[in-house]
Amino acid sequence: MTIEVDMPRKKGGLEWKLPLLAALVGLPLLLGIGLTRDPNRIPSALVGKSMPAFEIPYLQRAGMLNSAEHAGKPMLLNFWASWCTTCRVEHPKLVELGVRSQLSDEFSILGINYRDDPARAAGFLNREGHFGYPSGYDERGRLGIDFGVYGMPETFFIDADGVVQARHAGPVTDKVLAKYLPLIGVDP
Amino acid sequence: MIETSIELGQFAVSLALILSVFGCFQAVLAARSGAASRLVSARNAIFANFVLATIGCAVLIQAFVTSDFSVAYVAQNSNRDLPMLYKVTAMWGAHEGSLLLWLWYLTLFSAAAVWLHWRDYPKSMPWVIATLAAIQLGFLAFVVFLSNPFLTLTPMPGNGRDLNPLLQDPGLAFHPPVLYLGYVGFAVPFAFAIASLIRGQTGVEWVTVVRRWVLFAWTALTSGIICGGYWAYYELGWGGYWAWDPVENASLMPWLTGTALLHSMMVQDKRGMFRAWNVFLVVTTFLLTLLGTFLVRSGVLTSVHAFAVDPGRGAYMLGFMTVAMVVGYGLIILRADRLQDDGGISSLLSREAAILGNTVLLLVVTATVMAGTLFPLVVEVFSDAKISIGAPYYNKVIVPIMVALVFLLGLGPSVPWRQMSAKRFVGRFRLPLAFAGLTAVAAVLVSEAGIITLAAIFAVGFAGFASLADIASAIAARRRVMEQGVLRATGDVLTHSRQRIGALIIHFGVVMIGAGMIASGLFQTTQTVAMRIGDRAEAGGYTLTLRELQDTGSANYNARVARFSISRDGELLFEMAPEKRFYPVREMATTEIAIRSSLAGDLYMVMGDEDGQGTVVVRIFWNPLVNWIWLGWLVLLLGALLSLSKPSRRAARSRTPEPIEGVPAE
Amino acid sequence: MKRLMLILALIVMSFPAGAASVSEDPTEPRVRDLAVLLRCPVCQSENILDSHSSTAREMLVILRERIAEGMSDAEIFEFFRTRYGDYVLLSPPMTGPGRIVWLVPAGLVLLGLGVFMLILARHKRRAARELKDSVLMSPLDASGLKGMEL
Repeated sequence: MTIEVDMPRKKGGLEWKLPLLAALVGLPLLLGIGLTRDPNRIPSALVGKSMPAFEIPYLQRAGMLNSAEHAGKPMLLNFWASWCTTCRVEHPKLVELGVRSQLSDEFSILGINYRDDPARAAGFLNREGHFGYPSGYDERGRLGIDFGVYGMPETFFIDADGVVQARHAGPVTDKVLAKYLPLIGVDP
Repeated sequence: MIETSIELGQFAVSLALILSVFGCFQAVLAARSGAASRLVSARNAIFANFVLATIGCAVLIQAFVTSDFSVAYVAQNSNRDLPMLYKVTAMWGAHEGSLLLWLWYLTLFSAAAVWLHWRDYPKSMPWVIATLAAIQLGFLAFVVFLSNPFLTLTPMPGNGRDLNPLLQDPGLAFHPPVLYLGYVGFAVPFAFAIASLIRGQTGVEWVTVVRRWVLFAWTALTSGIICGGYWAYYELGWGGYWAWDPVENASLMPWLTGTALLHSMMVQDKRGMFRAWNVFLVVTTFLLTLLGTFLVRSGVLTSVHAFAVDPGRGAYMLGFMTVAMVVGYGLIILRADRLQDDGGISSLLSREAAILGNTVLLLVVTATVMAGTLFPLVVEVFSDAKISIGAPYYNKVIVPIMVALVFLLGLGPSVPWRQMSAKRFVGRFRLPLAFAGLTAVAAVLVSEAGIITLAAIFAVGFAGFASLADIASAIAARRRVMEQGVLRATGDVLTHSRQRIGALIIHFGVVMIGAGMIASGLFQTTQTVAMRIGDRAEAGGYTLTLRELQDTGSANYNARVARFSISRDGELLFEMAPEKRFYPVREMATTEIAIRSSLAGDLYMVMGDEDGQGTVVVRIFWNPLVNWIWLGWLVLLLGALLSLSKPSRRAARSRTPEPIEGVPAE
Repeated sequence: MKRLMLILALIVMSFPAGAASVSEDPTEPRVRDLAVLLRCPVCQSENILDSHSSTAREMLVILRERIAEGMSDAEIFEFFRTRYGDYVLLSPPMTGPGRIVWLVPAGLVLLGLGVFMLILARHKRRAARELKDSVLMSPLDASGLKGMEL
């Protein structure tokens, strides 16, 4: 049989009740907001800074792809690879952009083949369609590291002065273009 | 109606969901009206749910054993070529199944709690059942609507995707099941505390009732965490066992508050104090177990442990956790006026003060870990920047506080209740302090240890000596008083002072673990060398010679092995063979680490890259005393079993003292 | 002939042995110390030393190159920070929003200490008050009271 105890009452205790209430409200709120965010997304450290200059071999022709040669115009820089399945999603859009770049000359667009095997990359292009623009070959991913690349595909939006305005991690879609092209002075 | 066994499983959990609602209602009504019949039907619902959950688990395990790929969960996590052990353990290898395991434990403990305490605590039973049924409801709804392992796949695939190779390891058989035992084990003390709060009585009842539940849950949680560390140690190949990964932190936090609870409960039991602390600690511990579930499954934080990211599930868990938070903390705030202490702390040199210090320190560590884990999220929400808080931060910041805790661990058990004169204090701890001083001095002479390391060594030496001395003096006191021989005295002390001696043994186990962590963490040697066949390297006093590099393999993988001969002073002792494997189905590569264990430490080798011309890069670790961690855990387990074997006192307010404990009365 | 053999033997013996006793490159400890402070941006829960990903391995190579060039620790961290941002540093930097993180533990310890001492003081005050109350209520004579410490 239990012996019951009647406890005398005591008031106050605000000094711990208040923090407890704060935690009660704050923690779920914080975690709730956290749920809406993607924990894997890293903001680019290059935004607002000049694009790193580079010179790397072409993927499918002789010679070197030099970033300086494409300065003076807004630029799209797209990192892709044959082993990246999501790249196939954005491929048609990139080809389209390549055509537009050639016709209107509003902007330049370049590809960087990242950590790939040239034979496989060629096979990928044969299957999915060739870009109308050249791609550089980043064999070991050095250039990717210089650009802070952490996943595939990634596209950088660089304005005419060579300043990186945006980095999109993931496939390029109309929505993405509508958001970022204006930042580099191009109509979507 | 039910054609396949998998449909039976689906039916069982759905029925359990309905019964949990029913049981909760009946229990609440029983509490209000005092109707015994309602209480009985609520109890039956609890028992029934255990049977139903068992059916659900059995059905799922059977689906794995028979490789029934019509079940989507089985198809995603198993494969015809998977060894049988892994087919069974794969049941809890991913989100849905592990949740079902959690649920099964919950129904098991609910039924056990009701069955064990039915007669003794009739006034609390309605609210205990209501709380447990509500928790079951939360998890059952989650399983049935958002994480259903019984979903079928049409058309049925010919073979499954295979279990993640990292999980194809005996570790999966132990780590999650034991860890979940710990997590879910805290649900019962939580329920009793809630019942006590609702009834407006926070008397001696709930802590005395749940002493063994808390100890059991704490021991299981400790074991689960250490098991996970051991698994990471021999599986992942970075020479360590704890990475301060968010999910690891999520399991550490309830352990910290659970440890505080375990000790603070004693004070409420003995002197009717710290009532508010204890309800706060038990609610917080339970909430932290839910937080852990949330963090692993919601995708809020990145982690090597995370199951697939699913914000929908995360939202549900967050909602569930918020409800539990509001109920738990809300009740504490509402009933604050009844959480008064019967007595007070009369002196700094007292058991009460030591335990209060223990609680405060553990809460500081918990808050620090939580801050570190969540701070990147806070920064991201408010500033869109992204910072990183990783192992280097935690190691720097937590270790000093842990050192203070270890020191306190040595002090606490020997400090009597109420008060102790300063003179007696010095007298009692003279020897352990001297011993600790000697070990610290020895450490300085033998190595270039830094100040924190020396403090840690001092604390470990002190606490180890003090714990053993306490056990020895208990036996000696009994010998003196009862005029017995050593063996007889030891046997009697172990029989009659189970709680105290068990606690001292647990403490000593913790000290061993601490010693192992200090040595293997701070005195580890590591080297990365490029070796050709015939080359020799030195580590831990051994000479390692590379003998050959060869290709090998098994049913579902190909491998490349580097065979080493290990010798000391020219004498060949043993061989080690680290390897690298490739699993074609999942296209995953793993490294198999070679470990040679001894009491002095581990030789630990990881095979790196080859250059194709006969050179292989090898990482070689020497981890001193690392096995003291696992051995210390065994000691801890023995102490816990001893303490658990003492039956709980009935919660009558009895003032008769415990049988002779060996600590001379003050 | 004998002299020729001796010379040949000497020449042969001066060749380096095929198998060697290896020890690690003296820069390796520094590589390790720095690598455990850099997060692998791809796997995100591991540092570049422990991670198996190719990005991490390439970053390790870059790290070794920067060390060989003679860069200081701070310069190396800055190198990776300009590319990946603060996130790549596993130990939060002392500038920017991460700074607070270092103050939090110290603050918590102080808070804990304060709470502990506050509770002790409160208990002592209450104990003294209760003792005083109980003494006043019990029938002790005044001379007895004088001798007591209150």
